[in-house]
Amino acid sequence: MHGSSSPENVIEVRGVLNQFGHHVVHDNLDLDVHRGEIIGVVGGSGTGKSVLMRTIVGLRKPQAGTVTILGKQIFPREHDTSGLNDDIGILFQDGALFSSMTVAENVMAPLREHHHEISDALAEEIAGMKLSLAGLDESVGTKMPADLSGGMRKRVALARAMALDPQVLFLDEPTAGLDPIGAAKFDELIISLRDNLGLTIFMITHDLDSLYRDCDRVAVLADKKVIVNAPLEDVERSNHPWISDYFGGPRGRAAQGASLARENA
Amino acid sequence: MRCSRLYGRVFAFRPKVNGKAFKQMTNARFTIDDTASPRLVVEGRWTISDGITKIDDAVRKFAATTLDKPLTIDLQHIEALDTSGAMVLQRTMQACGARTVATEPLRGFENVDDRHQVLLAQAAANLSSCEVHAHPKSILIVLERVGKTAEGMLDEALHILSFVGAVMARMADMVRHPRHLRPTSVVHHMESSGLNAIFIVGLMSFLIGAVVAFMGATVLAEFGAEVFAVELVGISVLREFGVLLTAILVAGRSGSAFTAAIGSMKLREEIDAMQAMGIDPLDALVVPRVIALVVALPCLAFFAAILGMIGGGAVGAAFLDIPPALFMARTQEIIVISNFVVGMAKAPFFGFAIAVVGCYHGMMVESSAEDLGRRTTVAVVQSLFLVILTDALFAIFFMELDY
Repeated sequence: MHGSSSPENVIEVRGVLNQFGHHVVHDNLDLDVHRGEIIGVVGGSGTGKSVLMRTIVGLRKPQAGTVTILGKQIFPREHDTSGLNDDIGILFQDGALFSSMTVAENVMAPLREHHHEISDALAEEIAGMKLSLAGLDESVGTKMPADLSGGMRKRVALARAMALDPQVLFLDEPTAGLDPIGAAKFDELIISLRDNLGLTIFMITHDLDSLYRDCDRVAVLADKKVIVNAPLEDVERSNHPWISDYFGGPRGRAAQGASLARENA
Repeated sequence: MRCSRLYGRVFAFRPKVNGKAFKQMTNARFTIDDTASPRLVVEGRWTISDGITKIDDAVRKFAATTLDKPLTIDLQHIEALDTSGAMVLQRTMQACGARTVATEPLRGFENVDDRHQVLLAQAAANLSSCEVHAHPKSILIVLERVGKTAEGMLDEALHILSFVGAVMARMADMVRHPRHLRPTSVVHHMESSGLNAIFIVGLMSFLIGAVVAFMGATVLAEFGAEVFAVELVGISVLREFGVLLTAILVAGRSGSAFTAAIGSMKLREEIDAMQAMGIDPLDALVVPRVIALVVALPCLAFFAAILGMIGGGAVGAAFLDIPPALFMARTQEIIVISNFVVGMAKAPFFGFAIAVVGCYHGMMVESSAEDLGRRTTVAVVQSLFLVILTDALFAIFFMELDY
């Protein structure tokens, strides 16, 4: 484990600067994610939520700062990070399924890539179970991604992200575009993944219901930084104008009410 | 005992003999205690990254020999379990007659701790294997493919014809309502497919002219008729090579670009958005490209013809003792204007064919990036084929006319 990282921190971001031309997205941004928690990342459009995710998983090099994930520093690159791909699962916003492969092949792709010796039968069974876990039945296995609805694509993408039982799961707007029933099931699924598999989940979301239901902590991106990273009750109490607009607006209050009702029930 | 050290991971699978368990300090492994009823003692780390894939075959074999006998699985010594491991255990249990039900997912398991209970329950609820398409093998498949391809070709030919009709109709409409024409777009495509291609077209024609002169002169020298290389260059470049090679280049360069551009717009639902706004995609995307290429290709072909002549002349002056003055004089004297007219007359038709085929395949792209790639390839192949077919038809036509 890297010297500066404390053991319970799965992700440590320190002083990150992200810049596109003259446009600064993140400036001196810090973020900690603890093991086994679900962290919700919120922020207005264009505050760089996806950019932050891409930076943490190593798809984007920040201009400055350090990023450590699972004790391995990926920027500036110091450790051997080759084994990291097994431990990270990513659900991209539109699923990013491989369009030339069937659904089953998509889910099996990481299995086959990381475990060459895997038998067809086992790969099919694991893929079948992951699809079933993601709320799909096995008949979708032979379909092509193009034939699926947006919600189903998202579920397949989640099944693929979970194929290797990663330690950290990154979800980019997982419930966006799902109907409320589907979104609620997705929330349950995410919570059960955390509880049963001890996953750490980094979730970008605009879904206030998801925030209230799933997240142990909420990180708010504004003013090029993470301005708050705390449990939801503490975030609500913050008097930053954007946060009070966000949680104090009609939708925020509705989600809060629903969450209270759930607790009382 | 079977052992694998491929990735530095080892497993051991061995039936327990004389009640003695086989011990090894490694990952996923199990022992079988087959006294009264079968009993599977699971040890080590049953996770996908710690050797599940390697012991799976052994587990399957065990399950096959223990069919329909009530099985007990003991998890006392397990160190780690993940969803895949739980799935393998639950699958084995189901195969071996325990037949766990949804309400009782843990029947048959012993010494399961709380976290593993949830995993096993989850695995029991989600046990399913996804089907992967079967590949039927038969001579019928070949026949089926031949039939389907033939039908597809006929279908596509009809589609292209109807597309050509639609484009012509839109263009005719523009004669009546010139406001529908988008001059900015036309000029933009003339620049990108015409002007920007000028260097490569010029270079290619120059080299072709030079090669024709050189090769012709080598053969003609045997008859002492080296000077006829001028006619050879003039006629071949003006009548055929200039325009044909330009068209081939443009088909590869711009035809494919049209398909890719329109196809990716189709994939991103931009075309649907246009239609919803009441913009006809034929007006906005196809007609400007067709007009641009119909105008730009003759210009390029003209340029190519001139450069081809210059190439021939340069070789004549440098290597064949045909000074530029003589080259010019013979060209003016012998090469009739009809050669040039024949070449130029074909160019707009080539341009039309390339643009229409490129746009047609762009509009036909459906739903996936792979289809876009396939369509782009098909567009280039088809436009090349059409260009050469049109050229052949023109050759017959002009022969009949004695032109």
